[in-house]
Amino acid sequence: MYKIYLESFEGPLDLLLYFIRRDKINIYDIPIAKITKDYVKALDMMKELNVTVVGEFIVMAATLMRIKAKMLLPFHEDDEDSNGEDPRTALVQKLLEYQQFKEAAEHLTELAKHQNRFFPRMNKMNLTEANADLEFYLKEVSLFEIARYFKVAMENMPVISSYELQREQISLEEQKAKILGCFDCDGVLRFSALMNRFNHKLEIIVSFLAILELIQQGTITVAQNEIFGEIEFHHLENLA
Amino acid sequence: MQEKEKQLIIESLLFATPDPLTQKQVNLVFESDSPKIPETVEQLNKKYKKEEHSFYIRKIAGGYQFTTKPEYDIWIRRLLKKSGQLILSRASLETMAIVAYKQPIGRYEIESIRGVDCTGVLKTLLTHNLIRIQGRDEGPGRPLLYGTTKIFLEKFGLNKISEIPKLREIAELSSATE
Repeated sequence: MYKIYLESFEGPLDLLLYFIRRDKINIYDIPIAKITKDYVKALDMMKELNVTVVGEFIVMAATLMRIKAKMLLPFHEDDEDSNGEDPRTALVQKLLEYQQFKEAAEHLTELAKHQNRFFPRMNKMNLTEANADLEFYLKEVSLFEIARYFKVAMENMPVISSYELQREQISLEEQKAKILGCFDCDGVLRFSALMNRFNHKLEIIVSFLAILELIQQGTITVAQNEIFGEIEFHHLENLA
Repeated sequence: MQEKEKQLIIESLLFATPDPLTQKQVNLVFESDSPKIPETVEQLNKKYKKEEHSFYIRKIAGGYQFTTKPEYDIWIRRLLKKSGQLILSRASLETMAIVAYKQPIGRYEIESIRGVDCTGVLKTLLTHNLIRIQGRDEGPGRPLLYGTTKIFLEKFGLNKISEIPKLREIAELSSATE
């Protein structure tokens, strides 16, 4: 029984190449019945694992079965569909082409890894290290964006009837300290995570003012990965 | 202007430039009688070698830049807190390779080679400035065509796109190691 890690396949061609390499199959003479069986088994396994089997994988299964059926049929010289070609030819060409670029990708990886050992003086973004470099891809967030999120937070606040609400006086300084206490050890805090902690309007308003003041003081910065994406605060002391 | 002074001016330009320094830029700086970078760089590198420095000037992406020697990478990585792992996924690298070799190329053609949808991957590569839109195909639907950027050359340590190893060479290498 083979164990296959399906997530690691980039697509149907990649999966087929895996079978070819595993069973040391001659790519120009693929045993189509066997490979179709293996392939369909792999798809079933995907379903068992609750992995959504994407369309491309199903299309390939159909292609394999079509080739298999064609190979079973007696060969006709005047068959206009195949022109006397081996029904596997188109697939083999695809596999070879894909394999070529798969190898090229591996080679590019080596090039990038080698290049990553050189550190230019004006070091800009590097292809290494997602976390440390992520900030390069984050754009500055405008006050408008923060205000928009503030509105979302206000709207999502649970509705509490007025007599249940006990209004507490919240000081700006207290709230600033509280927000700074919410940062994780990496000095990152998500806006949504922060807003979930608060449950009444006044607290959200004071928090919002506290955030603006912390940004102005230069204690934290704000960044956003994409338009309408999650806003993150970065504690500047922790980043150093 | 003395040769020595010109050499030092080039050194200062290399020191301050954010992108690899090109001859074109040097020509603009000097206005007239500008020195040739390749020769100046050679002289400077000779000097650094003699004085045993940890850095030198390297040709990359059609220009020149100061860079540390690879043997110091573990120390620098500690300082910058970088693990040295690639941030690009296999899907991105495969797509990157196809664009690099077949540019200008449209999404449909890339997808037909990889056998899977590439919309997301192309977007990632575009945001990393590794590929750019080079224009539109003349064919039906006038699809966008993608090509590589200068950043791509810089990040993969190439001087120009023609320096990329031939597919045939890579295939020979892979079959030799198998």
